[in-house]
Amino acid sequence: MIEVRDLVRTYGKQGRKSSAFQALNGVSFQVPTGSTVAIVGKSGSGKSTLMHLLGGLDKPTSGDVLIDGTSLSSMRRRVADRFRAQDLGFVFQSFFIEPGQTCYQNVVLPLEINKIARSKRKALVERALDQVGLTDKLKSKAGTLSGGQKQRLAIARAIVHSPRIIMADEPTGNLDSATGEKIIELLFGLNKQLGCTLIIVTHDAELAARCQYRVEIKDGSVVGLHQAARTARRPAPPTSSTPRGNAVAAPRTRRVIQ
Amino acid sequence: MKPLDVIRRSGRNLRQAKIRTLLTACALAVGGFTLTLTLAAANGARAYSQKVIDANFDPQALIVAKDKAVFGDSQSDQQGPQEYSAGSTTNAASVKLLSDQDIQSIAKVPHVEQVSRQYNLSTLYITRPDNAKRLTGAINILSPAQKLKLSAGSLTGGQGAIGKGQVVLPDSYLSPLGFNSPTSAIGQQLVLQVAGPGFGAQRPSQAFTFTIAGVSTKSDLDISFTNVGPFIGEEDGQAINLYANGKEAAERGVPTVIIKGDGTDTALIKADLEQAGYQARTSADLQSLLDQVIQVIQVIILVFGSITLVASFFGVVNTQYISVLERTREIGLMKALGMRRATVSWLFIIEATWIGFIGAVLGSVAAIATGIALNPWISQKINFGDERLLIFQPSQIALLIVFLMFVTTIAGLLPARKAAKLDPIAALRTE
Ligand SMILES: Nc1ncnc2c1ncn2[C@@H]1O[C@H](COP(=O)(O)OP(=O)(O)OP(=O)(O)O)[C@@H](O)[C@H]1O
Ligand SMILES: [Mg+2]
Repeated sequence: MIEVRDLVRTYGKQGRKSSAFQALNGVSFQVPTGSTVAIVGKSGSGKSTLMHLLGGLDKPTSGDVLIDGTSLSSMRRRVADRFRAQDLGFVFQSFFIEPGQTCYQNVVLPLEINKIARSKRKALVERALDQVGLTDKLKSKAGTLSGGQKQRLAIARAIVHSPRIIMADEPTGNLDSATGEKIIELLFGLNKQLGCTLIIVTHDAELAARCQYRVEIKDGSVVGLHQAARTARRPAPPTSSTPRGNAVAAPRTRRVIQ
Repeated sequence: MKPLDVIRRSGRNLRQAKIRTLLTACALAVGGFTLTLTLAAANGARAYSQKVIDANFDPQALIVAKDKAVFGDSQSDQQGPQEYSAGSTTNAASVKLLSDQDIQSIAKVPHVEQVSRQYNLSTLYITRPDNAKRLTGAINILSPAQKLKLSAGSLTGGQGAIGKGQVVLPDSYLSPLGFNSPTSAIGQQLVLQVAGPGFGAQRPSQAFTFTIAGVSTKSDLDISFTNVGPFIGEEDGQAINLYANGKEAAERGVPTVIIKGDGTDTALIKADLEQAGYQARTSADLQSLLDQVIQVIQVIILVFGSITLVASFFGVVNTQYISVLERTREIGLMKALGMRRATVSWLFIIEATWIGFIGAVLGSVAAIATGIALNPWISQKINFGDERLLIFQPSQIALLIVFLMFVTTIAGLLPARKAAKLDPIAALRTE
């Protein structure tokens, strides 16, 4: 269970009204373990900011994220590092692959960080590259890949260590519909087979509709929390859980779209 | 992350910035080069001084005196000019001499096998029948501690000593005395004209006639002062001394004797002699005296070498800061993927250590190559014979490499700290 409590993230100087910018102003929702969630919203609405906070890469100005009841902001650094290394697979919106290194070297990084035995690494990296369709690029420099290939490489890096939670910031943004479809199949497949929680930021309405839950964000606030009808068998719908609530999201919280 | 992975990743990072790495390593190599050569030169100088002493001085021998001043020790028992009393000469007054009685008690010290008096002798001139008179340097008494290298003739005094009435000529004396080869001199007569006590034109002199028993050659390692004049045996030396200085002065004794031990550690014999109230110097003492001089010079050069290290220290700090800046995004990514602060630190520290390793190896390899190339030339230029001035010791070089790696590791600490403290998201946002 991932529990988001009244998240606020302010950029710029805290004290000054003029230069401070509130990218998130009190976001709250819950995501059950093993579910699929789409985060949607216009450009600049705060989706990436939210993802970074969910993954513990950034610290909220106020509010908290609880992973299975453990607060990210009160975690000791070592524990937080281990959470990101072992449990989380993160696909950045702008990939952040190392162009000077080979695809193998890029994908093996999470395995090295997790101290996976050297003998097991090659097979895992090959499998991950295989899954994203980059089998023959094992030894190519990442910088020589096309935009879509780079995106797939970033996904391979996020899934190579079989994380419990996969967060992907627009994983299909640079892909043609056929390749995008393959990637989506892959991610949903992992969700089914391994039961990992999948949180995807997307502009693709079709993809959003395939997710069990949909969180709609506008100007840093949740304006809609939806549960897809066909996945109603899931035990817990995403609910606005904070007692203080969210002014905009609260009334629409239990609206379920068909 | 496993240590081996950290080392491999650091090495890979260096390979991606080849030129910067190489230049920084080169700066370090200059220091490594200087230090390696300095150490090698000091090794060579030490080995050379050891050989010189071995060639000129029997390791079983000790020089013994009554007065520290003989050894140039400023802490002389007698300080300042002494009061004049009738009959005393400057020499006798300023240095305590070893009398016959002293020499007997020295001979009784355990493990002392031979005692030979060292007379200070000089001649008016030397000559041969039907030949011109020639000036000489000092007349040397061959002590059992000295080894002569003969190019002709042989010594009949037993155990390498010169027999009575015999003289050994240095080969430089041959042609002035009219000999055209060493062998032609053997068996010929030589006259030493010695001045007796007294002053002015009335000063008497006496001729002492010797047979030339051998011709000595000077080896490259000879210290020149031991070989400037003819050598005679101790017994003849005593007779000449008696005539030259008069009975009274001769009986006062000699400033030094050279003794030869029976193979026991000379330090023990020295301790016994000092117990008995005498001053003694072993060949090890001479060696340590020379070593001290070498040490001082070595330290001076090492200090200068270390100054270049200080410069390269800041070079490494600088290059590592650049490395952190260049790879800010990568650091952000690694931290976002859960790499621990300590590991990020290590990546950059080890990178600095690698630079130290490369620089040190470059420097010492260059120094060794220079040494191999220069050794023959240096030996020729400064008349070193077939000795090598630059001696490289693998253990020293290994230690130096480790030391340079340590220095650069320290230099890498600050930039590594900066890397470890970067905020992942902020770092990722940098272009
Ligand atoms: N470091 C920052 N400093 C100041 N403002 C920031 C910073 N990061 C993000 N913002 C602002 O916060 C807002 C939300 O940004 P965010 O990247 O979360 O948007 P997004 O929803 O992911 O948009 P997109 O769909 O284009 O990726 C934007 O207005 C952006 O300018
Ligand atoms: Mg975004």
